[in-house]
Amino acid sequence: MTEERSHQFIHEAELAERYVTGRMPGPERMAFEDHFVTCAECQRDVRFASAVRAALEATGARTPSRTPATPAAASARAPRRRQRALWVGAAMAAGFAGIAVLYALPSRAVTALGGVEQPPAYVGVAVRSTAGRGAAMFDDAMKDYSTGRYAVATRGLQAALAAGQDSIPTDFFIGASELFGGDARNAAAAFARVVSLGESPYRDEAQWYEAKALLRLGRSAEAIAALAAYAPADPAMGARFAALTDSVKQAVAR
Amino acid sequence: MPDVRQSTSDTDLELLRSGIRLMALRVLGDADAAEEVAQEALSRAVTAVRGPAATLNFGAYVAGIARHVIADWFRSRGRVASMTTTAYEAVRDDRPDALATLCADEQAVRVRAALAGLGDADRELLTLCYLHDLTPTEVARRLEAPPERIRQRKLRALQRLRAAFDAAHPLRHARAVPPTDMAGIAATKARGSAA
Repeated sequence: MTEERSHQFIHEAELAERYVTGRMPGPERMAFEDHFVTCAECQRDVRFASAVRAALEATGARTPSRTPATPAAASARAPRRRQRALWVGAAMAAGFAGIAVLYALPSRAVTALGGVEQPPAYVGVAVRSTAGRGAAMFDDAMKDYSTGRYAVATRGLQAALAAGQDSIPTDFFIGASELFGGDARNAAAAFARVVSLGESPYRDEAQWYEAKALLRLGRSAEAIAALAAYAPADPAMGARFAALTDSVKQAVAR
Repeated sequence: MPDVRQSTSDTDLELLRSGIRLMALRVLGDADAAEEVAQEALSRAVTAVRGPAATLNFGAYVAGIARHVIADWFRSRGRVASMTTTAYEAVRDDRPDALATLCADEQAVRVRAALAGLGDADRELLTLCYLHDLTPTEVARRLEAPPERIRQRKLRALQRLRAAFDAAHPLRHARAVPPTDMAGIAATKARGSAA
């Protein structure tokens, strides 16, 4: 592949944007870094993507009440808006000055820590038994989940839960679907249910994603508490918990 | 594949330093720490290529060193239990916005002004892509519009922002002049290679 063609691919695949927004899986990110470390054009693309993101953030902060283009877009932004409204309301009730309201808003440094690159993987395992109605609904919903149709998957999983499907995996993937569907509040609630059900193969990851969802909402203290609720059995997971906890504390301190 | 020693003599060290700084800043979120990592990674790379010749992709080689230096940075500050790839992975997405500090003020101002000149719908689209981290396909689903139309709208909006960005700081094709110490190291190494 010539350099020109490879850059055409890089632009079409929006690699710089995905790198900046954290949408790039690890191996792809490393391959992109391997390339751009010697590529002025791609470094510039990364800076441009960062500038766009920063400008959008600044513009959004100035016009938080702007009417959304569509109801769907409004729902995508709803968690952040609701959270801001709560903080502002609380500060006004306490008689704080306007400047205090600004400080009370969830910090971008905290909400950025709630980023998740890839949805938790689902690997269905065939078993020799007659699948019940709930299990069949679960399987159907997970097909939607695996293809990124998170809103449909959420509805299907909730129906499977109501039909008696095992609540731990079902709630876990409801949480994942909500998280990737843009509703961090519902996601945090679903992951919290998984954690509250005690030790299971899903508990460590549920803690992790619950913390991520809470961070997206700017609820840093609750995120730290979620990570501290149980020590993961896997040392690597423990290191991730520790690193994220440390990052949250530093973000709050800033 | 190019020989590492030959590659180094041909490589713009300042470009490498800039690339490593981007990598480090994204993970560390601190400009000073990113600069420290870039310096250390470059030093290690230049020292390494003075040894026996190796044949590999030089960018990947230096980026790999940078990732190890970043992991070392975390380990030295007790932020992770051990220096592993997992440690680096664990924090890699924590501070993407730190990269914005690498943009010149003028670039940021111009991009912001250009953004204000876009229509509400286009700003909404870019917000979904850049702040809610959605793909154009996901945005199309949310906005109930054909994905191709969303891609075209996004492309046009970004072209306007890019024009503002480039006007503030035109792309420089010329090779940057490496700092004095790096130039000296490179010259020494090049002489060694020639010998």
